[in-house]
Formats: sequence, C-alpha cells, structure tokens
Amino acid sequence: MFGHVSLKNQLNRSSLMFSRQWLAALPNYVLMYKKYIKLGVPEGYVHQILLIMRLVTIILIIGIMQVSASTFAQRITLSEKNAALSKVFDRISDQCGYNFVFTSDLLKGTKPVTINVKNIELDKVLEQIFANQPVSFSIEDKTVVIVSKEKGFFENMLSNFHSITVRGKILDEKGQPLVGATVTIKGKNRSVKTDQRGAFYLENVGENDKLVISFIGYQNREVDAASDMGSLTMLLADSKLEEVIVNAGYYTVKESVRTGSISRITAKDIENQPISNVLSSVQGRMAGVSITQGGGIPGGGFDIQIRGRNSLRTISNSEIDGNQPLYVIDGVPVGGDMKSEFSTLVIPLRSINPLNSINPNDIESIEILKDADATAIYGSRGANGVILVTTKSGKSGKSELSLTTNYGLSKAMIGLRMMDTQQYLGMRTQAYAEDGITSYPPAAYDINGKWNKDRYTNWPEKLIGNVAASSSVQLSLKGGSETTSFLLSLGRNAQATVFAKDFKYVSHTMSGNISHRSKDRKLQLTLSNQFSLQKSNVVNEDITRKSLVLAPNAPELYKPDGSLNWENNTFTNPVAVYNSTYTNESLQYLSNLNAQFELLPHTFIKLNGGINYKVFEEWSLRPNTIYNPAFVTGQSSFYSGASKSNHKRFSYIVEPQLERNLKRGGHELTALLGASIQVEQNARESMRGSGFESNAFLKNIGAAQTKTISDQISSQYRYAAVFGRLNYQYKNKYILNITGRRDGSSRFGGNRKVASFGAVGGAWLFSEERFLKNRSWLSFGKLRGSYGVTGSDNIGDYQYLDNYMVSDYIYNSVTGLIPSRLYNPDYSWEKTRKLETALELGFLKDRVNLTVSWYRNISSNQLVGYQLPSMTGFTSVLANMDAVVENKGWELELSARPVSIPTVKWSSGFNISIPKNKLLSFPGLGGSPYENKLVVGMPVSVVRLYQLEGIDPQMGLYRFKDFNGDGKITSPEDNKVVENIGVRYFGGWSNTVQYRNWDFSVLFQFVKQKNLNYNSSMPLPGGMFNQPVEVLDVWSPDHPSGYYMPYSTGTVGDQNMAQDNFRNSTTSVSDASFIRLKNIQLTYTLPLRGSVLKSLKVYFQGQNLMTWTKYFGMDPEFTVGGFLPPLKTYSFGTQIHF
Amino acid sequence: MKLFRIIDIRKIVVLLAALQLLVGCENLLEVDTPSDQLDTDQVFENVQTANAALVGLYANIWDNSPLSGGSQGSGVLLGSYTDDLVCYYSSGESSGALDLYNNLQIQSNSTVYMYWSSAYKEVYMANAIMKGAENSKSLPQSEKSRIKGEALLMRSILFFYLQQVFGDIPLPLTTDYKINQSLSKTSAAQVLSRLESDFGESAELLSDQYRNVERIFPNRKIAQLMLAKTYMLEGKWNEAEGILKTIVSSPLYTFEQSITKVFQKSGPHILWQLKPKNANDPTSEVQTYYFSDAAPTLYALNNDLVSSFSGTDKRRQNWIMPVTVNQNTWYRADKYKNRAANPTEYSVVFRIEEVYLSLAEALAWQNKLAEALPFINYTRVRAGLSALTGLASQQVVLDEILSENRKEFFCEMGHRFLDLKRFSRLNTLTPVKPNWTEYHRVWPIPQKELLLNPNLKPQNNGY
Repeated sequence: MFGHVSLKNQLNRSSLMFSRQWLAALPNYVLMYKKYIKLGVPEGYVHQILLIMRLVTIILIIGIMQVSASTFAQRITLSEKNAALSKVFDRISDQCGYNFVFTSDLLKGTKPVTINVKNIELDKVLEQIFANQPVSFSIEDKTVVIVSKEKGFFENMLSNFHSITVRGKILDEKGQPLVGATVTIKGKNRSVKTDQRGAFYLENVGENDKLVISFIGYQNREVDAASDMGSLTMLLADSKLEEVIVNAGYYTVKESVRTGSISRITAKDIENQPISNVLSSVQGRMAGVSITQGGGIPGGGFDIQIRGRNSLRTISNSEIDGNQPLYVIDGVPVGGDMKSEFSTLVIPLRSINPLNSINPNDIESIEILKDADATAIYGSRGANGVILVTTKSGKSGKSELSLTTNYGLSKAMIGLRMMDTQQYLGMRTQAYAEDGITSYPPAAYDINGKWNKDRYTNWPEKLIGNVAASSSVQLSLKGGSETTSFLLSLGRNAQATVFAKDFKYVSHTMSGNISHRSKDRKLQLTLSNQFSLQKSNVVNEDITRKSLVLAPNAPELYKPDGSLNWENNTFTNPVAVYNSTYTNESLQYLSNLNAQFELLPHTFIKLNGGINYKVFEEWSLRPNTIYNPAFVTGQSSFYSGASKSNHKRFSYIVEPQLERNLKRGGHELTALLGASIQVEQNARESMRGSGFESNAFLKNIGAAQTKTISDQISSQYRYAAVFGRLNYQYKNKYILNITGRRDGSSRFGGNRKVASFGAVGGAWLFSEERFLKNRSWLSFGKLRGSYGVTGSDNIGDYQYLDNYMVSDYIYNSVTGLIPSRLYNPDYSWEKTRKLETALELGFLKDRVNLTVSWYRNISSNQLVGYQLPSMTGFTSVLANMDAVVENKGWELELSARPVSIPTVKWSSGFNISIPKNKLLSFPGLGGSPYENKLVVGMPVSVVRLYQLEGIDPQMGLYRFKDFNGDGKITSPEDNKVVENIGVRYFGGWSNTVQYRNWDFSVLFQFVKQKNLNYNSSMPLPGGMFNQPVEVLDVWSPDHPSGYYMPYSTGTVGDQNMAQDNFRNSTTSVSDASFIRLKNIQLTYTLPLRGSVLKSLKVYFQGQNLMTWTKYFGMDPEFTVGGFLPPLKTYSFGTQIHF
Repeated sequence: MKLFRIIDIRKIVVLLAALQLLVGCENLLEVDTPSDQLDTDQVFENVQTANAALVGLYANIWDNSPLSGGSQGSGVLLGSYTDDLVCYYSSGESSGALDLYNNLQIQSNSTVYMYWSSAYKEVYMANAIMKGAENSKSLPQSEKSRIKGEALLMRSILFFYLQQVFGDIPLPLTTDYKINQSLSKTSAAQVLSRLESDFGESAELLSDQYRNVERIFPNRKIAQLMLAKTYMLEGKWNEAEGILKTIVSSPLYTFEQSITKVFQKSGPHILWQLKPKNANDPTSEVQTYYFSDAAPTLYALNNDLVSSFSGTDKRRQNWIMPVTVNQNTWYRADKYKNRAANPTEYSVVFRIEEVYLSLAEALAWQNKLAEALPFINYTRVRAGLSALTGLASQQVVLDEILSENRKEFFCEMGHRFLDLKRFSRLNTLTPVKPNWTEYHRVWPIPQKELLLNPNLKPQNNGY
C-alpha cells in the first residue's frame, strides 16, 4: 500500500527535492526489513527475498543504463564523399533508427552529398545535408519526411490564383458516412477531418493538387482535387497478417513477429451464437485446445486441455484438477472453478466454469497461450496454458446503439435406442427362465402383472426429450471522441431445460468500458467493469440415467387429477424429483484498471490493477414429497431437507510495470519489468436443516427442527512475483524473446514458497531475406521456436499444514474435530518444460496461410494427490512424484481465401491437432499404488481391461482370457489389455461465404478418440432395467453368435461377477470419434439507406445440428457418463444498429 | 563518473518506487490460518479440544462404521448376509448390499469397500488422537490416560470387527502413511493376541465412571467386555468367564425386566449406546428398517428368523411387526419405535444381556452347565418363556445359547454372523441361503486396496 501511494506522488512531481526526501526515508525501510527477520521469517525464505531483490536491482540498473544511453543517442558520426542522398539516409537510419520518407521523384533533382561529422546531433547533421538541396525535411516522431522546398512568394501567388475550394463527403464500404477521416492535400502540410455527416471542406487547394484521404482500417485513397468531389467511398484495408495485434497478456505483439504459440478467435467467431459460455464457440476452432462440454444442463463446466494432460492430478483423484488453465479476464486472473456443494447429481463434477459469468457477446477476443514463450511470463500458473479474455471496448466516432435479440430452441441429443415393451418383457421372461425362477417375485412389478404389460412409453423421449427454449437480448451503446471512448452493454440470457418442467437458467450481464488517451498520447487509461448475475434453477437430480433404465411398461407419471402416480406403491416415480430443486445464484463483479504513462520518450510506466468479487449462493431443497408417501420418509415434512451454502471470493491484483523501447537502425529492443501481487480471500459457509413444520418453510432453515451450521471457512491465498521480458528484433527479421518470472505462492510450505520460471523464444522471418523477397508465390515465411519452464500452484490452500478441521460431525451437541489430511510439509512446485518449433507460411499474397507446429512438453516433479490404500485413513496425500509425463504433438492450421472478388468472398480454415501423451518414466512404479494404473511408455489415460473372448457355451457366461492360467479371472493378474481412452486427433473446418448481403458460415468439429461406452456402465441385462436394443443380440445355443450372455436377474449365480468383469473388459472401450456440424450461421443484412437504422441483420444459427458417430452411448462428448449430453439448438435473431 | 552524469533523477525515483514495492514483498506470502482449522498441537493443548477430536471419532462411528446402526453398519450388512434380514434393493445398479444378501459378493463390491474404508478411516483418527494425547505437554495425566484409553478402545473394536469379517487384516498402528500404505496382513491369531493386550491396556487406562450419565461414551467395562469377547474367540473360556463376572457383579448395571424398555436410552442395563447426531433425531435403525403400507424397498426380516420364535415370545410381539400389502406379508424389525421426534431412543451397542449370554457360553464350554443356566434364563423369562432347568448335555445348552442369541440380538451389531462363526456353524445357513459356501466366512479384501497395496495379497480364498 505504502509503495503504491508514493509511486503516484513521484509520478506527479519528479523534483530533486522530493527525491531527497525519499532517500532520507530509505533507512527506515532497511530497519523494517530487519524487524521482519526478527519476527521469524524462515531463513531460507529471507534468502529468496534477497535473491529477488538482487535480481530486480540488477535488472533495473541495466534498464537505467539503457535509458540513459538512448537520451543521447541521436548523435551521428558520418563521413561521405559525393554520396547519393538516399545512401546518406540509409547510413543515418542505421545509426539512429530514424526512418526517412520520400518518393523517388523528389530525389531526382538532388545533388550528391559530401559530409564529415563526428558525434554531432542529428538535426544539425540533417541541416548540413539539406543545405543546398531543392528539398527540405521535417522530423515527425522518429521519421524524417522529405518535402520539396516551399515555393517562393511568386509561386505561391500563382498557385493561389488557381486555387479552388473543395467539398465532398466520405463514405465507408457500406455507404455510411465516415466520421473523422483525414483529408490531406498531398505535399502540403494541410489537412481537415470529416464532420459528423462525413463531409469535409477545404479552401485554397491548387487545381492540380491531389487529396489523400485516410482512415484507420481503410486503404488510403488519392484523388484529384475538384470543387465538388461528391461522395467518395473508402475501401477496407486488406486484412494483412502484419496488422493483427495479438494480446499476449502482459504485452501485445504483432502477429507477424510473435515468437510464441498463441491461438486466437475474435468476436466474429463468437457473436450471436446460442451459447451461454464462450468456450462452446472455441470448440473446433483452435489447434491444440481440446474442449469438452460437461453436459446439456446450462451453467456447468468444461474440460479444457491445452496440449494434453500434464498433471496426473485429475478431477477423479483430487479435489482440484491439476490440468486447469489460468483464466485471465482483462488482466485479472479470475481463479479456477468455483466448486458447488450440492449439485452432485445435476452438474457433472460439480464444476462451474468461471467464464459462465461473461456474456459471449461482450468478448472482443480470446487468446489461448500455449507454449513456453507465451506462458512463462505467467510463471507458476502457466503450465496448463493461459486463457486470456479481452472484452469489447468503444471506438472513437459517432455513437452507435445496437440491439441484438435471439430466440432458440434446443433438444437433447439422445444417441441410444432403448427396447420397447415387447422386447423388454421378452428379455425379462427369458432372464427368469434362465435363472430357473418360475414364480415371479412380488417386487417384479413389470412382469408379475402389477403393471400393465401392454403399456409403452419411450422414457428418454418423455423425460429428457422436451424442447428447451432460450432467448437473449443485448443492448449496447458505444462511441467516443478523439481521446475518450466508451462502451456500455446490457444483456440478458435465459435458457430453459429439456426436462418437463419450467426449470431455467438466466444470466444478466452489464459491462462498461472507458478508455482515455491524453492529447499528447502520453497517458492512456482504460477502465473496464463486468457485472454479471447468473441464476440457475434446475432439478436436484439429472434424470437422464433414470430415463434410460426405466422399464418401458412402467406406469403413468401422473394420475388423472395431476398428482404424482405411485401406482399403489409399486413405482418409484422418476419425476417425483421435480419437487426438489437445485438453485444457485452467482454474482460477479470484475473491475480492471489499466494505465500507461510515457514517462520519458519510449519509456512507459504501466499499472494493471483489478478486483474480482464473486458471491455464490446455492440451495438444495428436498421436500418429503419427492418420496412415496407410503414410506416413512414421504409421510411428513419431518423428512424434508434444505441446504444452503455461500461462497464469497474477493481477490485483487496489482501489477506495476516498466517498459522501455529502443530502436536504433534495424535494431529494436523492448524491455518489460513488472511485479505482481495478488491476494485472494475465500469465505464459505453452509447450513442444512431438516424436519419442517411445513414445506412452505423450506427456504427458511431457521424454521427447521434440526439445524446444522457447518463451519465458516475462510481462507487466504497470496501470491507475489517479479517478471520481465526482453524482446530484441533486428530488421523485423530476427526476433529473440526472453521472458522470466520469479514466483512466490502461499500454497507451499516453509522454504518451498518461491521458484523461478522462464523461457526463451526466437523467430526468423525468412521471407524478408533477400533471396526470398518479392517472390510472388511466397508472401510470408517464418520459423519460430521456444523453450522454457512453467509451473503450477493449482493445488488448493494450506495443504502443507498438519491440523484438525471443524467437521459436520456432531456428537452430544459438540462439533467434532477431524484430521484434515495426511501431513506432508515437503511438497514443492510442479514444473513443465516446454519446447516448440513452428513454421508459418503465407502464399499468394497471404491468400493461403499455413502454420505447422510441433511441441513437446515434459512435466516432472508431478504434484499429485498420491493414491493411497484407504487403510492409511485417507485415499490420497499431496506429494511430489517422480513420474515424468510427456505431451508432444503436431498442430496444423491452414486458412485460405479461395474466392475473393467484390461480390463473393469465400474464406476457409482448417485445423488439426495430433496430441500424444506418454508416461516417460516412473521410478518405483512397481509396488506403488500406481502399478495397476499406469504403464511406462503409454499415455496416462490408459485403462487395464480383461480380454473378452466371447461366451462360454457350457456356463452361458462371458469368457475372459486367463492370462496367468490360474483358472480365475482376477485383477491385476488378468486385466492385462491396456487400452488408451483419449483423443488421437481433433480439429475443425470452417467456411465463410459472403455474397452481396448474405453471409453464410459453417463449422465442422471432428474428434478421433476412444472412450468408455455404454457397456462400461450397463446393469446386468435381465434385471429390472431397460437396455439398448443392441442387447437383444443375446447368446443362446441356437444363436451362438450372440454378443451378450444369456439374461439373468443376478440373484442365483455367477452372472454378477461375469457382468462386472464384462464392464471392465475390452468391450467397454470403443471408438468414440465423431464429426459434428458444430455451428451453422446464415445472416442477411438488409440494405437500409437513409433510414434511422444504420443496419439491420437477421440471422439463423444452428449449434450441434448433426453428429456422425459410431459411438455406443448417449453422446461421445461427455466428461462424466450418465448426465444430460450437450444440446442441439436452432436459433433466430436480429441485430439492429442505430 | 560518466555513469552518474547520465542518471536522470527521475529514473532514480522510478527505481526506488519499484524497490519500495518489492521490499514489502516478504510479508506478501504470509497468510492467516484458516478459520476452520486448528493446529494439531493446539488440539491437544486442552481437554476440551482433545475431547472434540474424540467427538469427531464417535460421530464418525455413529454415522458410518461397522458399529453404526445405519445401512452401512454390521447390524444391517451382517444381518442380511446371514439369516436375519432380506434385502429388497432393486438389482443391477448399486448392487453392493444386494450382492451381500445373496452371498454373491465379489472383490469389487462397493459396500464391502465402504465397510473396510470407513473402519480404517476411524482407525486413523484413533491413532492420531493417541499420538496427539501422547505428545501433549499440557494435558493432565488422568485426562491423557482417558483420551488414549478411549481411542485405543475404539481402534481395537474396529480391528475386532475387521478381523471377524475379513480374516487376516493389516494393522496400522501409527499415523504414518509411508508405513501404512504397504502393510501386509497380520494373521487372525496375531490380531487376536494384539487385541488381548490392547483391550487390557485400554481397560487400565479407563475408569468405571461414565463421563456422561447417558452412557454415550464407553467406560472400562466396555474394554473388559471386548477383552472377554476376544478370549472367547480364542477359546480361553476361563479367562472370559473371569472378566464377564466382574461386569455382571458391577453395581453399574441392572437387568431391565420390561421387554418394552430394552431400547429405551435411560435403561441401567445399557453398557454403551450411540447418540444420534441431533437431539430428537430418530435412530439410524428406524430409518433403515421402517416401512408400512407397501412392499419393502430396503430390508425386511427373514421369514426363517420370524418363524424361529414361538407365538408367545414377547420379542415376537414387541420387536417384530407384520406389514401386509396385497395379500403379501412382510415383517419389519421394530426394536426401535420413534420415527419422527425421538426423545427416548439411542442406538444400543452393548447391553448387559450380551454379558449374561456370553457368560453362559463361557461357562457352558467349560461344562459348568448348572452355573450357566440362570444367565440364559434372564432373557427367556423376560420374553415370557419358561425358564430352562436341568439341561442334559453341553451341546444342548450351547444350542440353546445360540438360539437365544439369535432371538435376542437380531439386527444388532452383526451378532448372528459373529455367533455362527464362533460356534463354527456358518454352514448351517445353507438351507436359508442357497448361495452360501464355505469361503463366505470372510469377505473379500476390497479389490481397490489390493491394487493399491500388493502386499495385501493373496486375496482371501475363494474370491
């Protein structure tokens, strides 16, 4: 805090006196420092701090020396005899980095130069050179502009005589007035800007003068002056590769000179899609980024793997997924998933993605940082990649109001066909016959006559096959002056579910952005705010699984009077759970301030700061009416329960930075030095109540007969770092980028808090080399590579402490203390070493672009929830493991514009990623708890399976290969088949066609993978569970090719054992590849000239419309089986600009 | 110096500002301790927090352990594994408990794993409490002993059940996961001899005084009862007799004469009972066994058990309730009555009846038949049956004891399984349990554990 305040003071007054005061204050700091040592900071820790300080001091001193050198750098030493002017310019440019601007016509009449100067200031040198020339010069911001010498008095008179007054109007490509375009008289230093109507007016223009019209983003246009110019239409600048600026987190970089691996999508790929989380729109568009949606219930999570799984710590073996990327929204890290407590049965893995809180339409771009060069500046948090979200900002120009509305209809993708009643009852009858049971048990209602044997309901269609409507509205206003621009956006998004009740997910977002740039361009300030509120109200339990297994002749759900039908207490009604709800409400406020001040020429001091405040509240209400009233739990509201939990997260980040650019000749050096301080506070509490006088009081836990208030958990996470970047470019051809970071995190114990990370990257634009330059076929060629180390501290807070925690366990009204975890104080940072090389090529004036990259990431010192047998008291302990995991692969991105004529534009993009995961080594694997899970040389996602060898005709049971020949099928002796469940390759193919006012785009996503199929979770065929029609292929002596063993009710013999082995055999894993028509979009822009409306677009969008797959299961895209798969959506919308 | 000449004072300002930020760096990483956690040392600094750690253990034991009265406890699982209960879970999906009822459990059975892992979790807690109390510098010696004694007793009871259910078992005696993760099995005989000394030590550490009048925390007598039960498993009948007699003669306990008050928490016949989580909560037992007006969906009593009672047996009348729906009749275990507000019942773990019948058994094995008879008759007479007199052979007396045990303790603590096992009569289950085979005397070691710790091999015979 202290440092922050004085920093500001120093910015305001940089006087000598003030600095002296400051110096005088210095000893206090030294004192303070000593005091801390006394306070008991561990010694090793002090050592680390000293190291940081030493490092910083050295870097700063180097920085200062460079700063000083440059101030006096505009001195020139030159010795030439009768040299052409252009040659002299070259020499000067080489020395000081100034550019010379001229046309060859101008130099035609110039004389050769003879000069001999030593260490003379630039402007004096120039004066000497231009002394007797027909041309003169002016210096504008490191550029020397050559102009013809002003005409003499007579000539001026003459031209005035012929002068005219010019009027005209400038229009954009759509025929709309272009406000603020610059109209310059060529060769003269006079210009005007167009007004609000796009009109301009210029006096005293020579008859033969030319006018140059320019506007950012448009091609410059040159026209002969005339008194009435009429309307002049500007053409959009070709989107050249060079002009794309990529956000790399702490800095931006031109696409052409970037050294790291950064994938990017922009608003045009995101806008207007019927999605609630922007990650849905990334699927299939980025190489190296594999995204799997958790399920079809809105508001859930995603599994994101940026270049594979580095960590063995996955969601299934640890509280916190070690493979989560870092999410940064407008410079503020937002922390990972916020785990909900009560959504176990409805949200896969209870994970709620942090980007749910951002309206996709508010996003300008998403950059995903992948390799070491791009991620090392995020140091300890970059191992799994970084997802940077940049929100939209305003633009100078006329204010623009736009309204976007969208209405969509969604359906679940049910990929299984279940048996009908006749098939099902056939299976059941056969099962009892096989088991030798002749009288059906009293509870076998489906077959013993209690339920109508002629009824048929397609339960999946009935329970999860409903149409879910969604709607969204967004209103945004943007505009600004030359120096200040703003954007304000309001959005509402509502989405129903496919369940037959009005459950709903609603999100409201409000975002604002103000940017200011001082007139001298020295100060830049951006303030952005995102406020969002999500309300989710869904069923307490996803009934997808139930809908599959329910007997097809099960009775009606409701009685004629509308009440739940329990069919004389024989039916566990699946929609009884509709009486229960799971609701959550999440409020997020994210604010970011980004300030930059040009302290000295080419030296910028920057400050990035932000706060993130999030409040999450959830309720689970389970009235007794979800149970059959015949049973004790259904009888009275004494068995009703309600749970509530709150989670508050507040974090702030302060990142002061110093940047210095240096240009001399072809050399360009950029240095960035920064510090980062982040503090995150979490506070959680939950309470449960059971036993209510009436269900009307359910939301008032105070009214419960039994109340349990869980502990109020507050935790803190602190993080501090120093980071730097040094970028060197020579002639825009050779680029070297060095990044580094020294990190400290409170998540580690004692002496292990601090670690260093860094990377070096380089690029060579070989197309700029003389031997390739101006080849018509090759327009761009770059070879780049990087190597570095990143880390991960994504392990949860306080894991190193040996302590007891307050529990939910209460005995005799005393709250119990239970041991928190197995104690291991010695774990330390997990590190990932990343290597990458890539080739980027542009052909035929960049009409065809190709990028091929190869990467290899090696993660060692794996920090995992080390699996333990439960006899140790816990099932895991956080520890570093010797295992080394390698992720390597190829990524290919191809984009092309096959047709680009004014009426038709077709562009196409294709990407494919081929990741390979491998466990390189694992000393001590044998005998460790991982012995039966991992195989050296194989991916970490392998499973071990029994080899299914068909059906034993004698026993009528599945037969498995008995590898050790002991006559028994046991694990680990006989599950010897190693199968990899994971992605082999994935990618997407997108096409966009513009024809007049029509825009059409289509995106296909493809994934080649193997995964667990329905066999892996299939209940024993023959029990009271419906089965997919595939199970009709049952073995019998008459049908020896049948796949499934004879049906059984599982109560008499070895069938359960056989079924259990079957679920874990080679049949449970199969191809889960798919090609999906991910997105299709058709937009028509209404031609509106002279209307109040600027433009009106109507569009149709389709999401997940078609899927081609051979997968045996609901849908091949899932994180956890048994939940509602992603939805297919048709939506229509309009977008109006005023 | 040229260097000084070119240093602009403004740059010093920047430098110092940056440094100033970094000097504060050292306390940037210091975090507050979390509000819901307490240092282990602090926990055992005073009696109150040390007791809270014990509370964590008891609450876990009540909630989910071999001693629990709920659906994961021995009463339910071993009851349905033998011939007390019939399981009515629907087949297919979560078939762990159902497979146990059908005696078709395989090594991946989820319920078997739950039974194992919950017990070992509590063993860890007990070990941690013993270690904490041991290392404490501020706990008074008497409290230290009591805390250690209670934790040791809990650990030993858990080992006792684990041994009975799984046979040879690993014995984690410390909290060190580096040791515990690769333990191999200790033979049944060694486990029992370890338990002998541990129950003995725990009896020395504890006093007869209950620390709560409701007898919801164990006293020395529990350790003694368990020691006697261990002796009985080893066939040390004389030793068992001696200890059981000291319990019988203790003034702390009197026999409850009224059949309707056996499961009332205030009875002086109760040795130890577990209190439900919240005041007035119904017992876990009632929540598991109760059904009416509908076919059972969880458990009902085995008809074989019901028909073993004579019609006049008060236990048949008071503790068993018929439920008839659509001409089908099922029988509900009805020992615990309160379904909603419950001011009168806790889950009984041990009651004096068990001491009587155990004593009778110890005497009978030593052929002290006449001395044994009165201890069989207490419960018979209370049930309205005639007192047995002048029984001829040791075998007949032992048969009577086994049968009395079944009627008295059905659905309690897995009595039936433990008794049949101790009497080597498990194979008599065959007519009622068609899938029963000899190797079912133990459950399989959970597959997950075998895979994570190969030292636990070999798997129990038959699985």
